[in-house]
Amino acid sequence: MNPQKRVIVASAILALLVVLAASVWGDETPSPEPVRLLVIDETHSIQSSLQIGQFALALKGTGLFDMDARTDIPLDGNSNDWAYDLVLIVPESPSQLWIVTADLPQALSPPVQAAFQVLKNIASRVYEGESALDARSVVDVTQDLFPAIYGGLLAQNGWLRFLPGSANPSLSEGGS
Amino acid sequence: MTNKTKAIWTILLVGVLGLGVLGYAAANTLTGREIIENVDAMETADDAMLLMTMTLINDRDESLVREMRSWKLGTESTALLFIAPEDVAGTAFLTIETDGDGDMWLYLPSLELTKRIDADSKSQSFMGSDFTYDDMGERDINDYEYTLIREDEVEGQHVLVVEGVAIDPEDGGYSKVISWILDDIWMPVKVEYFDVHGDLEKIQTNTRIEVIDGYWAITKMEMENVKTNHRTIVEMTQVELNTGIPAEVFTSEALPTLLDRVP
Repeated sequence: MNPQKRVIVASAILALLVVLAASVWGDETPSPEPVRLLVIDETHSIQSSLQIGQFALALKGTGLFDMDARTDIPLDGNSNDWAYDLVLIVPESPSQLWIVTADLPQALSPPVQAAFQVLKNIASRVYEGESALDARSVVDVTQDLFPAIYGGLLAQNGWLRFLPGSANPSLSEGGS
Repeated sequence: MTNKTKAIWTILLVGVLGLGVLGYAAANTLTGREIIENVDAMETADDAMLLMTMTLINDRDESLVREMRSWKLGTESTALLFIAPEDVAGTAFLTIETDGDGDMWLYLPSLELTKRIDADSKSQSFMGSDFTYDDMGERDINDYEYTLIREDEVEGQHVLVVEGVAIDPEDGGYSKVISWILDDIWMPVKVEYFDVHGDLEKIQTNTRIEVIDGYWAITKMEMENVKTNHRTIVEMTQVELNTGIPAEVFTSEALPTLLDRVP
């Protein structure tokens, strides 16, 4: 089995575990609402872009995510009447992949927290494995300043959704 | 005459008419530059629609087959779509060459995202193959200085062996390219590519050259990376010429819809 297939199989298993976990947490619905994910691809090389495409395919395979994509970080306010649960930023540099949340991962709702773990797991397999064409370290808001800052900014501009009553680690007065 | 040499790996469509004026006898007196200009000057179809398979073979002889459809407008614009296997289906590229510069766009179906690609990434591997994006596009003949180094025979056919030394090796990824060119039809049968350090990196063999609708075409070729023992075979399985492909196919906006154009 090649590495990509392994990632997809592992993702499918993880997705199944998430669905099971959601039911254990008391969710009455058999299939939880997809988690809204915004992928921001700032790269300009072919290899980086194709790897993001394969990564997105693996994420789609889990059935957990409702994905949108764009090529720049939005600096204006979100005019939609909804916000994303998670944002993934693939910067041109440094060689990192930022998983951006409006709050600390442990403060996210259980479904989003589970999706966050799936996302991080797949990202690590795709970007930190030996066969990665575009090797990057995967970091979240607790591990690096960049995702924390963008978490605050995107939450303040309405792109990232806060849990009611939660506090953003980097933007105590922000949020939607 | 354009200042572009025809893409080596992709189909070479050369007008049959007029070949008589450039014969074997004349070839002996030509310089390396003039020989490459003859290759470059061959008439091409107005447009072409190709169905291709690309087989990747690793050093353990394991193979992976990818199926592609390509639309070409002259020598300037190429839209290329992967249609199989499923994990790459829908991935599409658009390359537009203007005045020595190339614009490239990529469409990623898993993200429904069209994005512009930096020109400097054209020396990267094309979808895991032994061809680079530059190999599949148009190469400016002014990027190399040419010398006719000898005459030779390949499978009983007379060829002229021309060495092209890159003016800026970092630009195209090769320091030197040596081509074995059939001097009766001005088509390369073999090309050796040397890396930026001057070491032989890849050997391309054009194993099937035929006339289609009055144009010469390379319809099967193999590229072997001698450093990795990885090989790529590209075969044209369907060629349609001068069908009047609409210009809007060659726009970045059309990339997401290319799959709909596949019968």
